[in-house]
Amino acid sequence: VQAVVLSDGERIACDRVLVGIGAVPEDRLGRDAGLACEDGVVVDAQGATSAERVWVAGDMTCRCVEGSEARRRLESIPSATEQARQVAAAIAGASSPAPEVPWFWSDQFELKLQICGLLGGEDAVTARGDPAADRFALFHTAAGRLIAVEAVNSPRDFMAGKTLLRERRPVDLHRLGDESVSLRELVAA
Amino acid sequence: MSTVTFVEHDGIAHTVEVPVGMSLKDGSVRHNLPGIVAECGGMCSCATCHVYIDEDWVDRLEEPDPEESELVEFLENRAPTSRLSCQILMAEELDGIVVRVPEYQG
Repeated sequence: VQAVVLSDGERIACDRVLVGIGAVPEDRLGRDAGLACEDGVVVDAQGATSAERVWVAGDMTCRCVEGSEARRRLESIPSATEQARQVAAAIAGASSPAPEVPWFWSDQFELKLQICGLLGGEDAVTARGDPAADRFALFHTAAGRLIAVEAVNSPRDFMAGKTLLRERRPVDLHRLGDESVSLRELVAA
Repeated sequence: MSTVTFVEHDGIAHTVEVPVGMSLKDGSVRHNLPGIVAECGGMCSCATCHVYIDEDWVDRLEEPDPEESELVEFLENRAPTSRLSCQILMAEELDGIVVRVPEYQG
């Protein structure tokens, strides 16, 4: 590969191309049933659709994640299992489980990728760790609040980030970027 | 066959057969026991298969990998005997092991 040529003719020189094709939800069953669909079957936090007594869970649902007003699909196992618990509680008439922080993982050979929170709207990125040693994390914040953590071979950063996200506490960016301050201190602060 | 006893947080005990080589997490999930969630499927990524190893057995286990230790370190309900059950493989010398399952995971 030498370059990518865009549809407007612009040529971008490159050595490699990473293709991310995304996915289109197959929500025809929902549409045929008359459920509100918009980039997937629209559900609330408990998996309820626009129709009474119909719940949907999984990759093809589209919902507002807590703390965000925009609906989106979360194509991940943790999201599907969370929705399963929410739907089961709703059908059984039990109280709803607490909403969970969205998270994702992938083991790529020697790299363990763990992500929590959702990117978008961040105004600062604080790194901890050593990218050259393949062990680091990026803490994304918006107006001093943590919105997402991307961790590479660093379960500690991931777990600390998940705790901070769950508790929605403001984060001291100076202390976060200062590796002499332990994550345990930051989480306990 | 070797057995594992999983004790729920309220004291209800389940003794099940877990073949040598299978993780304690799989042993619990395959018997449909409550308490061990294992959202990541057993890849040491999520810390939702947290258990407390019975004091009598804790010294018979190999030390956890740093990866596992880091995940456990930030669990709210961790204890000195906390382990992730996806990382403990059944072995002949663990026949009869007792583990307690926490009230909640994650």
